[in-house]
Amino acid sequence: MRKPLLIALTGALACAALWSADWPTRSGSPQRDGWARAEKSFTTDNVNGLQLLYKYKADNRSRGMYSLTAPIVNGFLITYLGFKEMLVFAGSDDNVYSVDADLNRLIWKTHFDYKGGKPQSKASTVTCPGGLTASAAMAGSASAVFSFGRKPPKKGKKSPVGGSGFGSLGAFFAVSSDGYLHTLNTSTGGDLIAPVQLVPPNSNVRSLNVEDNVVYAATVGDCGGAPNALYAVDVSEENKKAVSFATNGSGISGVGPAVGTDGTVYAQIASGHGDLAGEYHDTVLALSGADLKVKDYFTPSGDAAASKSWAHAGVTPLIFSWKGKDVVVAGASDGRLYLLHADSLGGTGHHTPAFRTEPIASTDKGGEGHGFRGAFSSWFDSDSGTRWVYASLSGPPNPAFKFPIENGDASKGSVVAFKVEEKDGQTMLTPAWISASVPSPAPVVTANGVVFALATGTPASTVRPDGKPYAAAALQKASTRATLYALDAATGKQLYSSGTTVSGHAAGSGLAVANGRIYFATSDNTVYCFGFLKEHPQLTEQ
Amino acid sequence: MRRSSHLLIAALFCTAGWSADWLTDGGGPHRDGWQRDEHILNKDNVKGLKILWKLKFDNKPKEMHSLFPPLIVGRVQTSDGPKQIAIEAGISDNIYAIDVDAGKVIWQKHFEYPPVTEGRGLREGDPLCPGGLTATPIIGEPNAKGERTLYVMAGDGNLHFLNVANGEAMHTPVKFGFGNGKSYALNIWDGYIFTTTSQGCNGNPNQMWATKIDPPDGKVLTFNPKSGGMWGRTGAAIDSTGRAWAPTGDGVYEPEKQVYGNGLVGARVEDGELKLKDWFEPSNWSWLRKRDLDMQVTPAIFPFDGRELMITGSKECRVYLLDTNNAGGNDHQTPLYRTPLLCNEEVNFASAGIWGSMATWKDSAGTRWALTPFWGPVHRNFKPPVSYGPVKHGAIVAFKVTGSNGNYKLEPAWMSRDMNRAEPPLIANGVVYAYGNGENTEQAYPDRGLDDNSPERIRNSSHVVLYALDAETGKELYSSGDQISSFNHFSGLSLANGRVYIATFDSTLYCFGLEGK
Repeated sequence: MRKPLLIALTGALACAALWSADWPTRSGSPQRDGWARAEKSFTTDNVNGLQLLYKYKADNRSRGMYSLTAPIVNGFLITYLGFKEMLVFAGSDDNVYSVDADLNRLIWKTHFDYKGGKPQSKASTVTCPGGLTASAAMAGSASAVFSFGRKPPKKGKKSPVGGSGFGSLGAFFAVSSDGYLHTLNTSTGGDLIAPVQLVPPNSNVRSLNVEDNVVYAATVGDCGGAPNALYAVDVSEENKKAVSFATNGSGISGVGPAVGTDGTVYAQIASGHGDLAGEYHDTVLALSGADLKVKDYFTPSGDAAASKSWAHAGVTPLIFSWKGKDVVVAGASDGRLYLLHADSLGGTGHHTPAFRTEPIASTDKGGEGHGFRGAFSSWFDSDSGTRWVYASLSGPPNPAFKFPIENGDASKGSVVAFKVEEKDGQTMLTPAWISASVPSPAPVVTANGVVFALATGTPASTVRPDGKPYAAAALQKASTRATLYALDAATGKQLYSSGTTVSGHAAGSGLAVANGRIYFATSDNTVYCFGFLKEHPQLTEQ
Repeated sequence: MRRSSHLLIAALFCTAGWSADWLTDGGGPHRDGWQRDEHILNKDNVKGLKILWKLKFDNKPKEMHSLFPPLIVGRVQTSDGPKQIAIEAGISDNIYAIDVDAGKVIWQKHFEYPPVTEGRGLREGDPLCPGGLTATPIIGEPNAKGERTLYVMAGDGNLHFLNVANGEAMHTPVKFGFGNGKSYALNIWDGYIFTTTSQGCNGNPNQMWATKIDPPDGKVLTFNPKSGGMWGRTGAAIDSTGRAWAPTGDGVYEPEKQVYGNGLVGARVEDGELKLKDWFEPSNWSWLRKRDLDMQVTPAIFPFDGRELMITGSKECRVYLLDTNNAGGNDHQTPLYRTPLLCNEEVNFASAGIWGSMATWKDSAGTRWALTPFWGPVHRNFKPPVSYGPVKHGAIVAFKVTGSNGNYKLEPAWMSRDMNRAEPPLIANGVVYAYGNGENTEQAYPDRGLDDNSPERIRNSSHVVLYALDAETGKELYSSGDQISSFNHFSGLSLANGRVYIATFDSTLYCFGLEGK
């Protein structure tokens, strides 16, 4: 009896794979590669015709600069309400929203009542905004070869919480302001299992990551009186107990940790120290997934960052497969990109990368906010056989660094592109292009030869020259509207700009791309959805 | 006295002449659901409907299936004299012939065969693939001896030829389909019998099938649209040129690859093959596919304005008006008319939308009516001119077909009262007969996601309610209330000679009529 069921499920999964890409986490995958691999709607030829499909206004209360988190997308769910593509995002007021991505209708909203052991923080600063801060996440990958990325459990592993079979519930993960990890029923938004204390109350949590039933969360800003750390919990274990790894310094850089294809967790720390790696400065750590023990590390040689303040939000390492092995790309405050072999991050001395570029970003002299931000993006162009790497650059590039293609003034921020190439047996990042100005860019997303970039509209720096954060009100005042751009992934040429379509800034948000739609959230508690109306007739036809 | 004799003779003559039939699911090859020969039940007396009899059979339900709509032959010469016979088919390979005047079984047959070993087997608890006899049989025209053949497809895929009068085989069975392959209601045209299959049950391909029956040559003709299943409730409807039209269920549309998912295909027997002749594909097929809103409604075919038109629909809950000679126009995606959404605002794949088949009739004033059932709440923007209270669980909607010279419309006329999962109606003598099947239609649950399982659905089902409505206004004329104790699933109504038949999951056949008539 099992065989026919398996055949039926396989068939159903194959069909599902045709139409149901996910965007399961910030940057689209545990490897943070920002690649919407299954996307076919957008091309370099048609993307200039992008349209605003809809806006969803959430009833969330903003906290300081922050309101809604970067959206995620569950492309294919069979719920008791019907087949759904769910757009899911969290709100600073301890809310999680599920919106029917096809119809722009709320499916469910969940509000978390505060149950922390400490009083809920009422104050809201740029560093510690309070409230819910981390994007929600689910298992899976937008860039997996198997586009129905919610793969079944590995041999010897338990089925994911909520199941992994065709039509099973699955789960969304969100961390409420009291530090509890909620494992949400995708159909209802209710807790599937009892919430688990994952991080201290009132933490500022970077975007979650999920791999093999383990949920990762990184805290920054020393908020809630708790030092910065990386936390993990296996939600499939009966005795769910979070483990942590303290940075003894700054928080984890970028949007949180990345997870390699073998389950190794990669996190970069701008400053701090640890038993094995000693003093950190832009150190990339490789940690075991289950218990967060340091397995390996790489620390760039040379001087430490000029500033170790909050200004160094930094960038999450990128992992991609190169010649069958994981390769790590990291960006440091020295303005360089580093290419690391996952099986030996920095060689025996932990300071020798596989490759490093010359400084690409201009030097941050303290508080200017220059440098790599958020996360990278990478895709493999099977037509040309090229592996591309893109980085979001805040502030001007290093004038000494030359790109073969320059697309205009990039002084306020840009997207920079590299090809991964082999030369004389060495893997290297070869500069390809730099975009025109994309001020304060969020991590980019690559989809079918198009790079989507979001100028967040926020000031490049969130700190004053003395290293202390601006007041939220001052930053709000200095912010302007976010702008969505589409760039040619091969040349960086601007193909589309949303111009004045968007009304708010996009602090703390990021792009999500799935099934012919591009999403991001803005400070006025609005999620924007762009695409082509003709591909979504259900929005206009009764 | 002499006058009385004349009246008696006239009455007997008329009685014999009234022997209406219901020989196939949907009432005829066009599946119009219209009993043209009903003269007993009418708008005035239908309120007096009673259960004349009910028969509980020894048929064992499989999954949610049990009995199919009975077939009626108004006058069959039997060894005990002429009888009006109902043929009831059961999922467990049973056929029952009933003397409807007496409410008694006069013969029954059970098809025995070795366990089906072909295919990939069935999954216990799966409502989609019950196995067994799934196609409503069909009765042919009388032969030279006045004998009628009942064509029945047993669960092993063999087509049997039985004498309606006594159940005896009139021909050796021929292999027509796949064992446990879930065939749908049989249809006949020009010496060929048709069926469709769906859901890939037991590994059966989802396709249209035809085989010659007059005389049988054993050759099976098929057309495969490469879709998720041709599960129109009454199989294929056949137009006046012999094209068999059937919805293709879920799937993609790639005509260049001969893939016609989520469409309606018309195939005809030509040169010993079943050839695709035309098709219609909704322009939003990918939306239908994404939300599992299958095109799965057997069309109803009818003449209008010198043309032959048909109506069909899907779980999305629109009705399409099509020309059988040019379905969908040159691009195959342009219907003559498409209604707005009638229901399923929540885009539910399981408990809303149009399911089953359609119906159509023409009144004495020449107005052509088109009727559709639907499940679930009415769409908030659909406001027919006449309705009867809030519709939350389903209803019948009647349209008038209007226009000329190819510019046609379906103009809403009325929407019925609320019915719990309204099923395909039939029309007789100005009365619409409809029913809520009472079935639990949930396939996914808040705590589990997809879990379509028969035991739970059976447990949570209620019961059938039969309604009679004024065909011109939709006003309720009769309701069976709580008289029927069980639900049904993928069954239907039959009507002939003042009797309305409906079968239920508990293997009971109800016969409603007027006492003393």
